[in-house]
Amino acid sequence: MQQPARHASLVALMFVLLASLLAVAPAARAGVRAGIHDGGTAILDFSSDPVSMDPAIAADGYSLTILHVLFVTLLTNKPGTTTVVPWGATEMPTITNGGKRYVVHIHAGIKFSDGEPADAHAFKYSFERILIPATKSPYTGSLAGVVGASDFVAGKAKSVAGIKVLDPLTIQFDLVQPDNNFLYDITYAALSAVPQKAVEAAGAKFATHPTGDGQFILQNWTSGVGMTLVKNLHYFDAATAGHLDKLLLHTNVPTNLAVLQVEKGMADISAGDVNGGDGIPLSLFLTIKNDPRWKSYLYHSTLPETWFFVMAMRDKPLQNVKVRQAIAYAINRQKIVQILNGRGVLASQIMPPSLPGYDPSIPQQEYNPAKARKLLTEAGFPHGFQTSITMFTTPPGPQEATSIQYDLAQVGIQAVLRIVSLAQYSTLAATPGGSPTQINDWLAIEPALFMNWTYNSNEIQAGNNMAEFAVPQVDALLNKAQQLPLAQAVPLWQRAQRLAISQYGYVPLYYGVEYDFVNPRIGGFQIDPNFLYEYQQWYLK
Amino acid sequence: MTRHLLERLLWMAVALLGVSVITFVIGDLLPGDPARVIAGPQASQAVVRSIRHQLGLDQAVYVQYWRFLGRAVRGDFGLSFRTQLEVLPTIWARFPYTVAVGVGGLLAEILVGVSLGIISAVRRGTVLDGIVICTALLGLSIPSFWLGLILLYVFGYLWPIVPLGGTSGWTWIILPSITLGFSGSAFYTRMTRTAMLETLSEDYVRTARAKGLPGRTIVLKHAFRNAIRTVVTMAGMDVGAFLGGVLVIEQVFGIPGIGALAWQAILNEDLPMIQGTVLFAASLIIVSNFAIDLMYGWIDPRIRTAS
Repeated sequence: MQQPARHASLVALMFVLLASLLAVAPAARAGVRAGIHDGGTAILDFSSDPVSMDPAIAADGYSLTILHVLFVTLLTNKPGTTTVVPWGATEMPTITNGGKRYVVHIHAGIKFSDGEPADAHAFKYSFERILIPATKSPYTGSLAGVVGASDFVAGKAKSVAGIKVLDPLTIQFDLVQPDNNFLYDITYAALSAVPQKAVEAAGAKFATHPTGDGQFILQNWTSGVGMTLVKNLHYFDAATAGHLDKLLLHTNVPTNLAVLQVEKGMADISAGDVNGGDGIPLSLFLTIKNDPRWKSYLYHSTLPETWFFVMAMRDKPLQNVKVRQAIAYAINRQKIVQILNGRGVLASQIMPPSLPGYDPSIPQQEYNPAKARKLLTEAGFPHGFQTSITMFTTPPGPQEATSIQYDLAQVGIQAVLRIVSLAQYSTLAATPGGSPTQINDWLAIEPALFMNWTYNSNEIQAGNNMAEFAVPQVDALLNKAQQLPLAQAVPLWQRAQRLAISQYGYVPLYYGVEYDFVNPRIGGFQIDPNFLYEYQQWYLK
Repeated sequence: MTRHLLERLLWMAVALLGVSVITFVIGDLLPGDPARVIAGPQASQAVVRSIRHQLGLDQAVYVQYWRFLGRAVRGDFGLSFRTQLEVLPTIWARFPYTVAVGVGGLLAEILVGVSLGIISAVRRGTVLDGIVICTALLGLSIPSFWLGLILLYVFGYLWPIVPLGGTSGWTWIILPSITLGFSGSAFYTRMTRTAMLETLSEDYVRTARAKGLPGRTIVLKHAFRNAIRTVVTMAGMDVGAFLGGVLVIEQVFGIPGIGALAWQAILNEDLPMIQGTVLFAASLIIVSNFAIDLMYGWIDPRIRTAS
């Protein structure tokens, strides 16, 4: 009797084991990580083409979101936050020599898809390639503070003295002076490693046929139609590897169609325009937001992005602080947020709330047309004056400019609108005296950028400090802050900001709020403050 | 005939030269510094100067134009300021989409417009004639971008029998062709109707009727053959107008043609791409008009003899 019973137990045990194996097998085949199933394809709709897949060349947000998963940088931001963390580096850089020396240790085993190692030599080559004038890279400024960079650009040196390969997995950067922004600079997708052999073999075609080392590989790109990214099976880090097998990026899809395609399940996200246009057209936004069917499709997040009104402080009559103050009182910023259908939060200062240096004690600018008129009278302009407002064509730019034009007219200031293309705008904005007033924005995770580009007189020549704001006391604080560790820089930025805001060269308008329309079948979606989308985190539910 | 053709070829070259000058001068007058846009906001003045030099933007305008013309004659429109990729291959890659929409639209408007024009002329004064004229008026009045959006919503979203924009499969061409062809067909209907009415009242048509020829033969072989010159002239002129229409249609339907490329180039102030697309389109129009000239001779032997 015992024999059959034991036999039955064995059969039962085998059955249980088999059942367990069968239950586990599909998950193992699909690849399960922390309850996330790997595999599948996501479809993204963009309304224009990315500019380039060469990290040294692309400067548009659309290209950068893709480059972020094609190439590995030494550091990056922790997804969904503005905190800088190691990526290609094994740990955060060791900073010595009074903040002027950064030593970075690189992970072993990072390889490009052609087998070339992404090591210290590759990073040195890539950084120097950016500085070579023939590359025509828009990122030369990010490396301008490295020792020997200017000699290399001028052709006086064969390599950049301040970038040293200590061993294949260690690279050292020496800066001319301490700069806390350098940590952020090396998070830029532009400052990732590129493979020398592949770059030299492909020439200009590297921009369309890149060889990368990121979580995905660019399989094909048809201009105007779209691109296919496939999972990089040889990606070095299992913890940050992508979940999806494939990303299909459709380009040239108008946003109104993209939204309809997401509604129909033909696409997973309406991702907007390379020129900064939103994925949800202004005209459809409220319809979508108020329709309960699409509640689970909407994501939103306040970005480290500040929109502001600029007044050229050297121009007459804007050189009079009372006139600038009057304009600040005259602008109804709440109305602009209403025009945006709530896609903005009133800004009290240039520094966004998510970045170190934000000062919660700075009050909101009051809207008070009566006070504005009084200030104009005191300044000697009781009947106002004539000026112009420059803005680019991408919505809601023209709507914002029109709103401010109306506000200024209420206090007697007649402003002509100059609505121009983004390219023309970039030049006009960057040219001292190019425009008496304009609307502009900063979107970045670097606190020093917000402060210096806005208020440091060093940035007038480069066209970033558009108001030509030049207050020596503010300059001194900002220059000192940039050389200190972040925590020590914060109080200086706050002091500088309190001083600067009373000069009214810039009127903070609002902090940008990004809304995205995403098919709920996509898991792991979050709006990233640096790259907007972190494709490697996406998976199918 | 050979001399006539040579003259036409010479004028084609002059027209293209004119277009190239206008395009170049307008590009030069546009506010904006491409070197600064390429160099980025953080670049030093030295870097901007270096890029300006590499692009040849630091030379006199006539020198820049001469170099541009020399390259253009060899089919080299330079590198896009924005992507740093060659302009002409980029245009060629987009060209098939524009041709598909253009040919689809042209076929739609000619087939529909000419057919309705003939029916309307033959059935002059009847209810059918009234319906055709009303449809033509509707076609003339409805903006094509609006019609495109409505068609997309109905046949791509509510009742999905064609793609909701884009260029997947082959059915994507249907709605853009109908949209582009609908307004154009109205012109063809009106023109064909008028031309046919004139021709049908000619003596030789009366003679043909008196000889007892079948109505279909009289209409299609005798009357339409003479009326078709108007249609061919319109088709020739349409190529130019079509490129403008295609630009709008490409935006509405998300078609990656030359129109979309030109539009992005304008937004980005990518001068080589603007110059390339304009010159390419101008060449297309000029060559089409030349082809139409040749067709005249084929359709009407009197023109061939006179030449």
